[in-house]
Amino acid sequence: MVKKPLRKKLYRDMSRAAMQFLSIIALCALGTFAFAALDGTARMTRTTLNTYYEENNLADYWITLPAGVDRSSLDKVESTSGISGLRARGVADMDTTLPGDVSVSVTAYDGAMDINIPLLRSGSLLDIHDKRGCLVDERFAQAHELVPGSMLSVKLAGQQYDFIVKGIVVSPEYIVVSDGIAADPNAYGYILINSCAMPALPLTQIVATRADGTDEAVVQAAIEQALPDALVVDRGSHPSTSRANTDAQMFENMTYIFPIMAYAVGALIVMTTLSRMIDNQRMQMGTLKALGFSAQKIRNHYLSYAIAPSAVGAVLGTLIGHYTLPFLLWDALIGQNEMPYQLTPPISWAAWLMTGLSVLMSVGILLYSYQSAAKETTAALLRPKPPKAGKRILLERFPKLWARFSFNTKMIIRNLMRNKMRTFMSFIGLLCCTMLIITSLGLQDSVTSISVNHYTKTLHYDARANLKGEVGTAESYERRLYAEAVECVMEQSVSLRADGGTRTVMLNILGDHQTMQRLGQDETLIPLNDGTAAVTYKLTKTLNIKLGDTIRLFLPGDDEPVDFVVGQIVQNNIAQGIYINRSTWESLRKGDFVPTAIQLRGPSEACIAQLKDMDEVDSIDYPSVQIDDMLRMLDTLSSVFTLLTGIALALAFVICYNMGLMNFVERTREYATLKVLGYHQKEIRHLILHENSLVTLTGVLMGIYPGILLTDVILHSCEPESGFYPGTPTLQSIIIACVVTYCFSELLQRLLTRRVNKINMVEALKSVE
Amino acid sequence: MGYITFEHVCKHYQTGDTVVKALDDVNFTVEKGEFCVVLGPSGAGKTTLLNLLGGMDKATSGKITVGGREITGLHGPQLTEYRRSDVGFVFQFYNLMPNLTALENVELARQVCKNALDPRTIMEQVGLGQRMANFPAQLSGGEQQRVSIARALCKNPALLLCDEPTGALDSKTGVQVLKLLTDVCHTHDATVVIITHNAMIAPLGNRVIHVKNGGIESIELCEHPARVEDIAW
Repeated sequence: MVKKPLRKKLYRDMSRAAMQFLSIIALCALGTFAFAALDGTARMTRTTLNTYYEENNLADYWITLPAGVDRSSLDKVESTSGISGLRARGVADMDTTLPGDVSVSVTAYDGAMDINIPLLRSGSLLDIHDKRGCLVDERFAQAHELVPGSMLSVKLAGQQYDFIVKGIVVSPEYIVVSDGIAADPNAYGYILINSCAMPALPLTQIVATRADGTDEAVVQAAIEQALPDALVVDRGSHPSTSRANTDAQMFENMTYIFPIMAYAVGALIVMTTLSRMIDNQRMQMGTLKALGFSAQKIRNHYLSYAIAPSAVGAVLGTLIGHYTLPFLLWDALIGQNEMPYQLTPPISWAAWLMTGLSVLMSVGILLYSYQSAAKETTAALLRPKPPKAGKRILLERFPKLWARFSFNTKMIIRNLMRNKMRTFMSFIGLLCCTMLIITSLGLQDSVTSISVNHYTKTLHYDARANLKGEVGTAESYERRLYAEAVECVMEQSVSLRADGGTRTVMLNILGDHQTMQRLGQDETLIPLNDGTAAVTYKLTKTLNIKLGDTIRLFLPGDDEPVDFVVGQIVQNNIAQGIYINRSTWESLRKGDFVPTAIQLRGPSEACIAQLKDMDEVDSIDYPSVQIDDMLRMLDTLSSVFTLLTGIALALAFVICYNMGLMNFVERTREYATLKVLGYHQKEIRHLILHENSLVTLTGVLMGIYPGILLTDVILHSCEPESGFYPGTPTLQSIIIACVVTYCFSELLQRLLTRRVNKINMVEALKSVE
Repeated sequence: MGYITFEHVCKHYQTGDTVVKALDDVNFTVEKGEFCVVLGPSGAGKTTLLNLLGGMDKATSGKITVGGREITGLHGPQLTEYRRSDVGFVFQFYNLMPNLTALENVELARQVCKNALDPRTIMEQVGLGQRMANFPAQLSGGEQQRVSIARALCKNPALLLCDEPTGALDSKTGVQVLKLLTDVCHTHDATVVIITHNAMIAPLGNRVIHVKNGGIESIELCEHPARVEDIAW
């Protein structure tokens, strides 16, 4: 009997304070939404990848033996402890006879394809004795209209091999299919064949899997010890696998940085709203008590004020977040890679935890404010709470300064100080909004500037011809090729050992007076010192290398390691490695300077044609094309950034609206009095707007630095090991973020102040409620 | 023709199908410089009368003039202008801005009024010369009401409207406030209208208007009203 009227009261209170309840719902929803969405995407990606890797037995190591795989090397790998399976393969990029400049990576299995098992999309898999059939990459097949039964021909050493397409597949080791930066199925794909179908292709690679429970680095070190000539690549440095991993990693990192921030801000606002709500209910609380309701019953009644909206909001946010955005983000981002399928794990415990926390937090806040009210006697509750007294503020201690302010400004400043909590909340809300918008714009700026700087400034050439096979001397190319400038580089994968760990890195040997790789701070040209090695900044961080340290390099096919003193630390944001100059290399007596690539500035068309005709030229890269590829890839990221901006704005909206409304509700009586005193509505509105703009301005300005900082933190948490991504929001983005936040707050406040017109002056005559 | 005239003034509130007649055909006049007491039990329509007179509400029908100006014909900003320059208002619950000092509360009125009086002088007049720097929370009820009166006087209004000015005060302070109001009536040459349900105040008025059930019951004129010190509380 008692419950019913109380419940009615709850419903009526809710509909009367609908906007406040709605804003609690919205804030709880926003936090859980952002979390569930990013968490869902991360888990979707991770689960799909892990299942795929597991079911299709992705290799743990790709071991390349330049001299070829033989019985003894296979035995050595097999007998390494921790290896659970292995398979020898021949791998090479080959041209096809398809129209245009189309090449494929050909992988020839010596035996069953039981490691990196292809997942069949249509047709059938290969019998191990099949000498005519091949399996083709799905996207490549779509781009070239290949179906089971089509013919595909590839060329190896001048000889053409014809294959019948048996099956269309995707492969766990080819999630990102690219010989450059971005995947382009029109130009590049992969096929899988049996090695018996192409005896001319030497077996140069062993793929191996590791037994469960063994340590990745230990097993790798054991393989490297058994086969010193071999280049061992683990999943972390395998191009496709590591890139797929970086994508998943990015979402995982974002899941915990971004939404938690949104969540924290939301929590603060919910806190103010709820505690004010309870304050406003004091008299009613006292009345209920006086009527004889038990304390428990009253408490439970007020608990519904917190539980109902926060539970509705949090659950709604989690559900919507989990069931909408991951699918959109997948299509925009993850689906750009060749994924086998899309597994949707259920809502994670972490997301439910966040949901629960939202409710718990609201309940906690409510109980806290309720408790402070409940401690008072019934009689005290029945008396109106005296309005918060005004106080002299610090600024007034400086009478000269204080006297300069206009009367209105003084009043506004005192008001702001009187409602410190609300002022602070609005301030934090606007600060966070500015910060988040700067971050989302800044992320975009930074990735663009990183790629533009790398391809236009760090790499200071127009074309680069990659060489293989019989290569001439650097001098001969520099003489023969007609371009503004020609410089050769020699690059090789080496194993680097430093105190901080071991890595397979690129050793770059550049000409003594090279001008085409600008490795100094801010892409300036710095000469490489004779006799010492230069290490890229990120690599020094990864392996904890300092200037003056000694590092040890193992060159492929050489038992004698080389020691270098680290003489310079250089900048390269995209690739990490070690740089030495040609004189230093030659003084090592580890072989001639054999160019692996020719870099050209201002090459004539004839020169490009000449390069294309040269047998040793494997491929030609153009930074101008690479930058486009890179930017295209980053474009897909923009959907994430848009999402972040959206969340930031939604957050700002709810906070500004909520705080503005609260200000209004609390001070209606004051505004009504002003109206009776003869203040024009415009003047009252002006006062409110002025007050708001002061807070907004401070919040916006204070949000700039955290925004820059957050950009940096997020970027660094997203970068792969080979990348160094500094956060550099442009001035333009910062200004845009500030202006957007300011205008947004101003606009909202203008909408809110329309309510001044509706204030009934008779309010001022009523007693304090 | 008096300073204030009410001619056939009606104020009806429509709630659903029922019409509540808060004021029904009210007629009276108040002369300039009079100390007028509007007396009646709660629910009689006193406050409605005050709202209409103060330009805070609109009459359903009828005509109200103040100082020869018909305020029933004024709209939005004109009404604000009327409140701003012609009317001083004293509230039952003082309605001081809690975050402004006593003096600043008075200055608040000066902000919107062209021919305002010096706030400090007014504060001295109401006997709060020593309390100017205090915030409302640091003042007693009577002191707060005196600040409220000072705020109203600062605008140098021709008409001072007081809504139960002693309603929230004890008798002793109430007397002080009433004394102040009667003095104001003489020194500032203002017309004062006091709304109250307290019959004790009635003897102070030059004119006492008895309101009952939304209409005027009777109007008493008194050429020599009692002095505040003499009324029994």
